[in-house]
Amino acid sequence: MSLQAYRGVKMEKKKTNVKDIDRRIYDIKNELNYSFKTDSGLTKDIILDISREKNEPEWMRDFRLKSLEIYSQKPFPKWGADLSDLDMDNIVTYIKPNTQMKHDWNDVPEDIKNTFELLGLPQAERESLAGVGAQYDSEVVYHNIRQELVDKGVIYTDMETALRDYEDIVKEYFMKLVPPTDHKFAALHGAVWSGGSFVYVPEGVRVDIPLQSYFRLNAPGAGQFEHTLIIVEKNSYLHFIEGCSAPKYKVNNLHAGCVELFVKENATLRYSTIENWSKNMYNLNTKRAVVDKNGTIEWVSGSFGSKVSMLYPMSILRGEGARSEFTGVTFAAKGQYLDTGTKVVHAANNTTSTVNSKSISKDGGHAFYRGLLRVSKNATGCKSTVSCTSLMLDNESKSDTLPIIEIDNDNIDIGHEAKIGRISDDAIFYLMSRGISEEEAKAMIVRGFVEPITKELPLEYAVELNNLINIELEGAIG
Amino acid sequence: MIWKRIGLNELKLPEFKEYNNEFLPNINGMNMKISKIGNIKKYSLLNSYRGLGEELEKLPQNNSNAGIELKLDDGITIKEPLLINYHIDNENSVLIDHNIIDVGKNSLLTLIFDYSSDETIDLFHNGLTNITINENATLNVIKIQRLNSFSNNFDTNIVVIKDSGILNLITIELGSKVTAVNYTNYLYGENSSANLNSIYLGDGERKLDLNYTMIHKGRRSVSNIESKGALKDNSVKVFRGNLEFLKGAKKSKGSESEYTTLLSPNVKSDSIPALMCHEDDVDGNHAVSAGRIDENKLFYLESRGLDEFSAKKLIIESSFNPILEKIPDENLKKNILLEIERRI
Repeated sequence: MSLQAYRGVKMEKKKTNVKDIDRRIYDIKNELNYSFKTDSGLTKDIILDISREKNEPEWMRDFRLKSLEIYSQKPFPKWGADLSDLDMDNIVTYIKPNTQMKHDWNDVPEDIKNTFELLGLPQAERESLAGVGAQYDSEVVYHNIRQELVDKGVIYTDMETALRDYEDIVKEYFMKLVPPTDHKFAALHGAVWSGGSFVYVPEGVRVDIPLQSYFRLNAPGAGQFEHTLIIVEKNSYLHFIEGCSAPKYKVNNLHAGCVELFVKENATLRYSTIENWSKNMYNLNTKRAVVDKNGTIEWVSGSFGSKVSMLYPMSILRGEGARSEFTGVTFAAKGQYLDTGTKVVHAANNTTSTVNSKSISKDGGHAFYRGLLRVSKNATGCKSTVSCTSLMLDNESKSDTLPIIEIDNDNIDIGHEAKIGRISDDAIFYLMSRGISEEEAKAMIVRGFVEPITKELPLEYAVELNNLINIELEGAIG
Repeated sequence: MIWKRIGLNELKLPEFKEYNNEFLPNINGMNMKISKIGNIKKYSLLNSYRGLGEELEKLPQNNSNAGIELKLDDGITIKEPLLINYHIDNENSVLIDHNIIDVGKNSLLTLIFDYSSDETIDLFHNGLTNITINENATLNVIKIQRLNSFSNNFDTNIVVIKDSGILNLITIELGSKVTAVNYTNYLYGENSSANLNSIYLGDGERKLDLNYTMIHKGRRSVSNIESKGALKDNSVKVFRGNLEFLKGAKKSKGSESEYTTLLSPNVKSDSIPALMCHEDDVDGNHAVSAGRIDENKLFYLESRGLDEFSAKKLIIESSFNPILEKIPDENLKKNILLEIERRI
């Protein structure tokens, strides 16, 4: 054994400690106070109960029943996460909080209002948002939008109201992009969906200040199945932020939401998510965007919470010159298996895509990047770059990268690269040669590692994110 | 899965036939043991990977009709490359070879496997090669597959490399209608290293499924996968590069890169470069790129008076050449160059 190797064995290396996310705020539990709750499990009667409780049109009730049928036929996915702990018979699919939807925080029941106060939502609304929706368990409890946007014709409301007031639009788009036949949890969503947001931006309207929906799951052993439907018409712009959290219980919770985004000609939609579910949550969410000619979809995705995540936002570039951009950070700590990534389908000429994914794993956490990049046969002149970087903070953890690239024609330009490992000594050496201390150099590199996502967020959220990942530096990373 | 991507839904294994062509290399005066393989050889596969599926991997173990057993003792350097020539013809249209190679400590050996065939017959090849590279030994392996366009070709290679052992592997895939190969290299020892260079050429209706795996177990082990290929006509290719770092493989480095040049709008090119990491103190990276030939390069060559076709040909050949240069047999090298030139 060489001297160097001998030293390596003898000397216990000092390691930098990256703290777990501080969950105190998120773990506050409220007493369960509901006006209607279904039995756990999934039967036709439960679906009919939900539909009756919501006073839905007949077509939606039939849609739910059809989805239930598909759900019972579809097998659980055989790849990815181990879902054997997820007992569907014990998940309560619908819990209606004991309140009606309000447009003023003062009208929201005290305990629910306090929860959102602690999460900083009302303050964020005052300071930096153009509209806010807050969902508590299965129903939206608060919804508000600035008057000037209403005057421009922007619609931002909860899905139930949308189904009532804008039934034609909802019927045209609802689960057309993610049909219940897509996979088992899409079918489940179709059967038991409740809550969520509906946004419609008319032609030529630029919404400069972001809209935000916050999804909070308070009840133990429950599922949240919110549906987000966003339609951005020609030449418009929207930034939509989605936040999720839940307190931790001993029983498993399930989140199987669905996001459908329609980006029309020349329009741009930026969709940001900061997901911080508790570590008893199965986050099996489906997100999909379809982009028309010269339109742009920008995904910003931070996955920090949940026990198991399987989340792959998908962009279908179906109009010529459409563009997609994905920026994602995944942080897997103890007991977490986060299987995240993105799917891009180039289905039209001259479409471009960029994927930038970062993951950190520590304390036995398992971060898995799984991606798909597909160029259809008739989509020529497409360009794509995919970059995945993983940082491992100890050797208890795991980090895997599995990008799949499928190319069906020759007129393309595709590049993919991935890197895994720890901070390079060269980078530290360089910074130190510039007069920066070793600790500071390492801190700079770790901060720089997650910077691509922090810079994509509005300032308040970037600060929040930096607080989430609290880095304590000592010795080497890795 | 493996069959889904290249669209091969079912595979009927042929009936057992004798293979009587001579394949043993000439080892006159060399200090080694080599013999035809016995009928049944127990040789355990690695548990971690089932590249081509149990059926295809077990067949050569239980029912081979050809193959070599080679044992090189410790401390022996063989400079002359050994050519193992598997030729498939009308009388010998099924080849199921199982090769067992053991390179002793501090030894050096170069092996060339050449799989060739007559032009017109339907043939089947399924091979399994088990290699052990002992401490501080070096093995150079060159595998050339140029079977005819009617054939099914399957090949599994499993290499275990011990402390400071070195494997240099070149694979050249030119032939077959359907070809699926799996190279699994297990870097078991400290300081062990493996280099894998692959070139492939897909034309006509050819389908290629190439699976290259590096598993790092030993500390400071180093691996490199570099694959270059060109696809034209209606060919289909799947590249799977797996780089796996097991716990304990500290200070190891692994890299993989793939570049595919696409020459026709009807090709299909899939790449799945996986990186699995269970150890933090490692350095792993992969890069995959695909596209048409760089227009600037083409423009330059055309401005020098070459027509588009010759310019393309020149660019592809020049990307293959550094790897082809490493073939130690002049005659073989010339034949392969001619073959590539004819087909592009």
